[in-house]
Amino acid sequence: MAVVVLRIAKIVALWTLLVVIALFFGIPLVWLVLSAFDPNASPEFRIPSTISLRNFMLLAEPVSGVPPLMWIVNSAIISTLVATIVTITSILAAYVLTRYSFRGQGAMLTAFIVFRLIPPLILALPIMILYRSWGMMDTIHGLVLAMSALILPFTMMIAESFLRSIPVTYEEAAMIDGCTRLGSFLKITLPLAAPGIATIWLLSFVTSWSQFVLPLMIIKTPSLMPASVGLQFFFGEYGRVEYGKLSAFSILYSLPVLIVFLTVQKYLKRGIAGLVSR
Amino acid sequence: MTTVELDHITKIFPPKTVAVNDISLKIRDGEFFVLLGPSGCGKTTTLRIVAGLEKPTKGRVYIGDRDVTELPPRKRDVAMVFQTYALYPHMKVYDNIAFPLKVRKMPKDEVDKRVREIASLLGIEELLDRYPRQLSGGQQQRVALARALVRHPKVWLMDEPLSNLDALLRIRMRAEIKRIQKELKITTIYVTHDQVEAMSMADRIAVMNKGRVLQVGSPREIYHKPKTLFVAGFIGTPPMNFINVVFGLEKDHYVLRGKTFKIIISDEMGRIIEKKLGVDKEVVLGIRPEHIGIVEDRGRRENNIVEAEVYVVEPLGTETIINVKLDDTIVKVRTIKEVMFEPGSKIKLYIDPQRIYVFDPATEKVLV
Amino acid sequence: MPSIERLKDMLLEGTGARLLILPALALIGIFVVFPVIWNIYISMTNYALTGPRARAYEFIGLENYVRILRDPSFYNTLRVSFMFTVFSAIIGQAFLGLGLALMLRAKEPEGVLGKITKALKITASILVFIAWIIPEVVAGYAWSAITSKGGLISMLLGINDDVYVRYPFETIVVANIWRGTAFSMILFTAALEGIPQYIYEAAEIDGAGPWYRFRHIILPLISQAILVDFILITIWTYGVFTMPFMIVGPSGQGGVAQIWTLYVYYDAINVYEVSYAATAANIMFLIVLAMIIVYLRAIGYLKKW
Repeated sequence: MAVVVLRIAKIVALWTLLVVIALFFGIPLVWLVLSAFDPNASPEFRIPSTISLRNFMLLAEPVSGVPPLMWIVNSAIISTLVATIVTITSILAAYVLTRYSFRGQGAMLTAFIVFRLIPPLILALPIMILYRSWGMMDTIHGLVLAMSALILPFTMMIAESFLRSIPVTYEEAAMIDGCTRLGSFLKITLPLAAPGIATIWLLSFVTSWSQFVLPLMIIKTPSLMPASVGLQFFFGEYGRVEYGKLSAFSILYSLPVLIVFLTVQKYLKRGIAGLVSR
Repeated sequence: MTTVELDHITKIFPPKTVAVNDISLKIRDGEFFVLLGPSGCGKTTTLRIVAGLEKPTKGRVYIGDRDVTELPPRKRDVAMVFQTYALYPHMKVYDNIAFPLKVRKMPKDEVDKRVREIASLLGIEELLDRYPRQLSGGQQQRVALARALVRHPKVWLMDEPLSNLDALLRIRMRAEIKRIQKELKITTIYVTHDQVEAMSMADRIAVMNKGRVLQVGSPREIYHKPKTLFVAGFIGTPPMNFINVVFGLEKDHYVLRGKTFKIIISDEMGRIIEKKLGVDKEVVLGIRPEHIGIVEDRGRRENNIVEAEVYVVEPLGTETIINVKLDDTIVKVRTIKEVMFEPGSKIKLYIDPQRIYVFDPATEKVLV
Repeated sequence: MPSIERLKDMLLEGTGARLLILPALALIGIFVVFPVIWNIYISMTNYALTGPRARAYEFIGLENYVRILRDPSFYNTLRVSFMFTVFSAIIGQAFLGLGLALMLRAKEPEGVLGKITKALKITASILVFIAWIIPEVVAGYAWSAITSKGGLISMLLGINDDVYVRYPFETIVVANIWRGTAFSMILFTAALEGIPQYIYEAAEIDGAGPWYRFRHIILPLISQAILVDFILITIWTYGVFTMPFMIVGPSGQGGVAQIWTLYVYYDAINVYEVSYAATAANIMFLIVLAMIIVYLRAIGYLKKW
């Protein structure tokens, strides 16, 4: 009898803890969803009296002269460019790092770990200063290049471990079968690395999609802004916030990230585990 | 006419690992040539230098009469079978075999004809539509062979191709590879650490150790006339026995003295050793397990009978290996007779002085 | 003169192919390494965001460094950053993450009870995960809303005011725990999964109680993960900018919650003192660098195990 009571008590304790955690992590998210569908949204946590898509509809109408949907389009353009640049450059670099040996290779890998851990603000400030003299302030290409460089150390480590996991023997076989060295990489290894390449593209896409500090420092014209900084225009003067529209915008803006992470979820855990035993 | 020639090849991996140390070899047209040696002896590196996957630090490589040292692998017209087969995982068997032809832009119907030809030679026609991961180890092996042979290369290179197969399959593939090689009359370099494989397949063998070629010769030569202690010890199952003895002159006989035994050798042999080394010198006596006789009735021979203590007996069916203790050395004796000895019992052995080898312990070279 | 064939070979066969690393190196060199160096130079000038000092700035040596080391607001931000990192990263994320990972691994009883347990586990872990991956600005906005006057948190605390004004520091600490715990949870879950089941079973057969098992079996086996987790989340938490920026603004509610990233932004953008901000950023960067070196040492050390 006592054993059964103890077991039930254990289960109830576990449940309670899990519920508390779910509440803590869920409340801000649930509020976000509820207020997005509430035409009269406020900070108050409540079930909307009428559920409507009005907030979403309003996103096509200009805020500070720019329809918010345009910021999402900007984000899509910027992130596509960044992800493509970053994927290509990191695959090429990883090819050299895994298929050749040269002096300073170890130091280079270490340097990439360091770069990956530098807080973005440390770079954003001097980049802004440099851009002011290079005439690259308020330009999409300026933002794309800086963002690519910021993400590159991270994706390069992933690319490196991906390519390392594919045996060089395949390439050697292809070279003997008649390919050039580079050709054997393109014809054999690259197709084999396709899942890894897709993962790198998606991860760099969402990283760039969410990036805030760089566009905050570099982009000043509302019509050029990505969603992360365009969002500030929902905070009106005198602390007036358009909660409903902002929540609706936030949800639209978060959706691609959620979808991407759902698809790369498995890989993510492996990657994190790899941080311990590199 | 395809010969392969290695001219003073040295390969140093930075910072200073000498993988291959000044090797010169001439492989004849149509020959099955085996590079044999323990792991890390440089045999695979040598093969990769021929393939063009590694550049030699020094020396030249010739295929036919062309200097290919600076050429990339694709311009050398060689084919290679890898230890892991390296079948392209994302291509079907057909595409794997066709790959070397497609890369060379051969017309489609010609590719198809060649692929089917080679597939039938290797008996893998039914596998063409499968992916490598759906094949057994033996089947993968055949596909790898097919891919290597499909474009009729000048030279066929194989890097331990049988080491991932189970024992039975290995014996079958040994014969098969040899058959195909003879049928196509293709110059072949084959790397292995397995001396049985080498002995059974090779026209000639190069025994390597520590980056050097110790001896080149036919399997018979390597077996009967090993030039060094290492070669003698590497060939044969079980390998040659080595016993430390002293070479001396007693009355009018040349002898090899152990602690507990004495072997009288021929004058001819003795003179050679005396000339090379002098008398009362320490030497190493080598004798193959199959050349030691077990003496059952003691009357017949008087000389060169030694007494030893039985240590372990290994009955293997067709033969029996008897481990005996002679002086402080474990000596293996191989016999086809079904015999049984109790460990610890005494046994009399006949050592045929015509079949012994004597080595100089300092240079490890053979004296006679 | 090298023929076209030779040039082609060079690019395709070896020596030349190494050049393919150049685009990556160029990007990093121009937009990562050079800015870090430029920041050092700027910190030794009197560069400002606007006005004459924006156009014609002068080299002033170490003046900014001397000034900042006498500036009480700099010491304030150092203190706030330190407290923020300790509370949010180590005390918050790491422990909550470890606890979550252990809970997710807890045995599920048979039948309906087990199904409920499993559903709760999945719900909790998905919510933790979503909190981590949504864009930081969205997370910041959600937290600033629910801690506003009339929001759920102020209702629960019974204050008729913005919580992030009344308790700015506590708000950003809690919000950042909410944001970052998933990383530790995933890391520890992976580490726990790396422990073979038979070790648990062997310990149970040996009669070890739950606490004993945790203390003497699980803890030692995941100690590498703990070490790496501590260092990484410390580095990341220390560099956090966006969420606090969204919740308490660059001034950090009058400095109370002004972590160093806000301080740097505030100096550069709000009061135009760019070179002074660069000075602060460089000092803070040295601290990050020290932490990164500790991390590199740690993984180097772990590799030898």
